[in-house]
Amino acid sequence: MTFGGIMRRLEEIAATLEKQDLELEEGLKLFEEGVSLVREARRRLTEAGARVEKLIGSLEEELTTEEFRLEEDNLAGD
Amino acid sequence: MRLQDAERIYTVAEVNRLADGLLQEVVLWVEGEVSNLRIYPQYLFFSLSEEEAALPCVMFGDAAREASPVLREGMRVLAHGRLGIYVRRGQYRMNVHQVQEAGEGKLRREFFRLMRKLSAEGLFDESLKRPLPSYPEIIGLVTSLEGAAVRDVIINVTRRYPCCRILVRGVRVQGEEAVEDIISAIETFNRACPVDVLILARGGGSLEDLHPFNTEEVVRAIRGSSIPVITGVGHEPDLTLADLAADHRASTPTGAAEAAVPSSAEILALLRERSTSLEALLRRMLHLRERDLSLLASRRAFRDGEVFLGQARQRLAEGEALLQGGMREVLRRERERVEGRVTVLGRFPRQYRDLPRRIGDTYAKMRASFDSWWRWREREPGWRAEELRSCMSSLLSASSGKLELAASRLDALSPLAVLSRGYAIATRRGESKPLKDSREVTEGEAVDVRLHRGRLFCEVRGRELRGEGPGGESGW
Repeated sequence: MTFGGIMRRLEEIAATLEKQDLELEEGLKLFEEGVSLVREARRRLTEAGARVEKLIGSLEEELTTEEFRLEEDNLAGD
Repeated sequence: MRLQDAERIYTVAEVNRLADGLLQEVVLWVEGEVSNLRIYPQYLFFSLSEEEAALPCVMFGDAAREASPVLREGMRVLAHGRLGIYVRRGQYRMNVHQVQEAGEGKLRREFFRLMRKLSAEGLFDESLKRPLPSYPEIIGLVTSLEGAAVRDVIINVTRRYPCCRILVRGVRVQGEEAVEDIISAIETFNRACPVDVLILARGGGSLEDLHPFNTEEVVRAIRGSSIPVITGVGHEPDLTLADLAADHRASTPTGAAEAAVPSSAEILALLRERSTSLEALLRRMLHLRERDLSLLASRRAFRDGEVFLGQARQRLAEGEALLQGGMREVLRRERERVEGRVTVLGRFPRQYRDLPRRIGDTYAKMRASFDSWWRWREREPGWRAEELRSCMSSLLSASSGKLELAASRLDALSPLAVLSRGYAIATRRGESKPLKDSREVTEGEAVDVRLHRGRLFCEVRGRELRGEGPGGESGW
């Protein structure tokens, strides 16, 4: 599931739980799903680091990616 | 002018003055673009520049006071002056006496012409701007691989939103080839790497430096992109045509990064809020159910201890009614049959008087066996009405058999059975009470005689009174 997907599903769950005519059992199931989605979203935000790649090659020949690291002078500034 | 003396050692000031003297011979008109303009009360400085050269200029006195309100950064001017050296620093410069605008700078004229043209075409319309994705997975970055812009974007995106991927396409951002590079990068992302959002970034620079971002080709490439484009070109006041065409314009590369991704701090706060509200919603739901339940429990049916057992119980009642109906019918028929005989018999032995009670007992036993069958059946989840019916009919036929047996026993003990042994029963015509005394009838009266098989319809021709002497009224 994408991060955006997680956030959208969380919105949906909250909207469904706000409805009053929900069966208790269904409500509990949604609540559990919501809690695990919140946990997953937190994990992704805190554990992962952005992957930075360089796109090389051309449309006509071949396109590939390779890891891109900021150079020392990039990091140091101008 | 006197040439330098080869035998002599000069001071620095002397050398500068010598150079100044030589240059002062050169008086001319020059055309160029004003940059680095600094205006002071008594003098002003600027540079006259073109693509690959710059000429430092200075104006003094009245000439400076006249020029200062007119001169603007980037303005293309014609300047008239004398070359020279600023002796204190050995700095080459032109002492400008007169300056006049050479019309709008070529680049600026082109900028406004293109802006008017493309704007008339609707390329900058707000309605064309697409919304940016809230949570992009992959971000495409089109910029120079060197310099501050690439660093600013990567560092800010990573810091704000670490759960994404950045794909950088290095391009030249200055000079003739930059336009082609930028167009090709946008096309490459659109055709081969469908990222969620594109950032087009470049550090600040002069109007000329930013020229590629002010070309029609780049504007059309941005507008033709099916991926939303964010521009972060130059510094705060710089505005390019690319900015006008983009779906979102940030004033710097850092701003573009901030526009492209949400901040994880804000998301974490949102998630905290979300989980709190999930808990609140669950609590509210439980509370509502609790209220519903107590409302339900307060209804009379439940208060009186009735428990709703559902459809099965309802079907049980129906089945029971059916069974009772059937039983009642059987019992009714049997009772009629028995009572018909009892009526004929008039009085009957004690054991026959028990018959209704015995029938009642049979019924009760059948009820009991039906009930226990039902309780067993109720535990079976898949019972069917058809089974119920067949089970009931077998119960009914069994009970009917029992009743038949009871009836035959009744027959065996019945006074009617006595008739088969040759006895007869006489009654007055139309009555069922057996005659026991000849005085109950008179001569000539009609009497019915019931035999084992059939009846006789007789008339009394005479009678003998029991206990009377002979010669009396003998009818025989």
